[in-house]
Amino acid sequence: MSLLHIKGLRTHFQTEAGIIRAVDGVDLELESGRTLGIVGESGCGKSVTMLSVMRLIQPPGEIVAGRILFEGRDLLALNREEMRQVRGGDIGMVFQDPMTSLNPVLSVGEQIAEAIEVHKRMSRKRAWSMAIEAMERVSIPDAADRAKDYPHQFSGGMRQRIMIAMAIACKPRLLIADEPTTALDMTVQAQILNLLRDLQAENKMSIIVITHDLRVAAQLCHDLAVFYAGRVLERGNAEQILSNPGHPYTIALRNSIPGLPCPGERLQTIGGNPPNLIDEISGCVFHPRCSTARSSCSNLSPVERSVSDGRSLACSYHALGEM
Amino acid sequence: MSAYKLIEVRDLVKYFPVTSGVIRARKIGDVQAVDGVSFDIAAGHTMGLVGESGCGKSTLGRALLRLIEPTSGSIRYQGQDILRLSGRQMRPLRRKMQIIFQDPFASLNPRMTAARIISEPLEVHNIISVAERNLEIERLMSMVGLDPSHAGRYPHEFSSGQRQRIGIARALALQPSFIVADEPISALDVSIQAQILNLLVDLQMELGLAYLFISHDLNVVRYISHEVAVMYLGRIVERAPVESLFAKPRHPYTQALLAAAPGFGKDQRQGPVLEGDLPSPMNPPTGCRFHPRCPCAMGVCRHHDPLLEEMANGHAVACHLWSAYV
Repeated sequence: MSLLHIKGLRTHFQTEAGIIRAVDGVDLELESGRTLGIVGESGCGKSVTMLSVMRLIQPPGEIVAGRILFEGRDLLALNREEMRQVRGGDIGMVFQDPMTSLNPVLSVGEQIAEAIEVHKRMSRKRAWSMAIEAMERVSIPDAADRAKDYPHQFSGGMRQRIMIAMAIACKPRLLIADEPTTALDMTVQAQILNLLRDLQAENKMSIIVITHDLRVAAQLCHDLAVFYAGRVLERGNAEQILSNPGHPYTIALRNSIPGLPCPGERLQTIGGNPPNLIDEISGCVFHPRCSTARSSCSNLSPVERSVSDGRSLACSYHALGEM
Repeated sequence: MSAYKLIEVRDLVKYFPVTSGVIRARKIGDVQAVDGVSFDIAAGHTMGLVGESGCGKSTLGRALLRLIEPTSGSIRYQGQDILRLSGRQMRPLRRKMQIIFQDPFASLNPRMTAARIISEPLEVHNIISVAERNLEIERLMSMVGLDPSHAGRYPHEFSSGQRQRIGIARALALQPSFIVADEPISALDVSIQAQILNLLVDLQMELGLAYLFISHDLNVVRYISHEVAVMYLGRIVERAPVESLFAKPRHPYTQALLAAAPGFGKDQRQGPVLEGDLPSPMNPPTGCRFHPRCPCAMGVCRHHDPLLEEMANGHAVACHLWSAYV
């Protein structure tokens, strides 16, 4: 049984301008102990999908269809109290911006301990010592002293470590990291990626990393899911997808990164802009920007098909071997 | 480098005073944002400037245009020291030196149409008649790949990539020969970044522009630059032609940056990962500014500040490890 299985998830937002289909039929599967990378451009629904898993979607947003099975339990069927135990207990989450996601008027130790107290029902003192333990696990030097410091006394990289410490304090089985390194400098980014890799090896924890940077995903992930306009266009083994991308969007995304494939050569671009999710696109969501689109792509909606071992993609032509 | 030197920067310094106290503020120190930087940019060439946040790269870019007044040093544009010019004398030169900003949301006035944004520099410098203006706007918009029929639209009606194109058209309006591009693609989506990079390269070829291209992304800098300068805590620690820098990075900091830059393929190029963070530029370390984080620091690094010295083929490095080879 897979650790997390998302089936046909649809999360829509009712706005005055119309319905925004932020997530529109997403299927995902994550085996325990593996790292899944969710890649895509801004507005493709990658964060909303993970917020749906955490059931943190606020009105006017609403999960309108689908099932989210975590260890076989449907998270969408849990009541509030049960969901609170899952959130932060079984599933930890790290957000992008470590500056705005920490409370500036509480010491970092208190913030980590608070999460532990809520989930493990233990005394303040025990929770505090567990908080220090969590800070040691993310390699914060002098954890016992630094736990009394406030967020502004830490650098960006250290704050992100604290966010991770908070997320793993209750020993979750799944850690969701939303753009964990985007706000950080290059050298600090490498530190955080190494930390995530070490934590996974030590704790047999599964990780989902949301990122717009294919290179970050390449470094960290076993599996990949490529998102576009609220759908998954391609998913499967990360190495296979990056070395031999199948979907025209994945190919274009990979080729538009400078330094690859060949410096000095002209970069391949994807024409146009990411779509506005209010207007429903008929046929394949990528067809207006696809360089290999056929006439039928504008009315034929592609079905996700398996192309090889555990790898599948949603492109009408690729599956027919006509690419 | 065969082309003539358009920009020559020598020992450029910018300190920001730090004060304390409310009623009687007194100076308690300086943030040494740029501390003795020298380099040249040839006409039609791109100098890439890389470094982590807070290393002074944006301050340097702005100081070059005198958007921030440098503390000392000299900046020559076509041989003329622009720091000695008065505001009035500076005006005609400002036409030749323009800037593109990072954030296409914050850098365009939301109450102005695209046409007004693009033509404002022309009005300010009073170099075009009203009759010709619309033609010129049309020309600039097509040049950067915008539809001229959208000239009457406001910034919010454009996507982020299109907005960045408006910013570029505005910079081009005065027909500059030098443009500072301060992280021009960092705020854009991956698929849009490539479009803007290609546009900048095309414009350079067409118009013979020189760029100072500021970025934290080594892959982008490698793609667009002829020469690259690596900055750390207000200093240039290494400067070299692009192939030379990426093939043979000399400074331990450059090596660490390259190792940290994620490539494709797992665990590829696992070089040393730097420990710690950037020290405060208010109180930089003694000796070599990089020594507290340097994996190869020696005794001499603690006390003696290495000079940026040229080794061969325009490859210059400021590191004691290499001073024996100079």
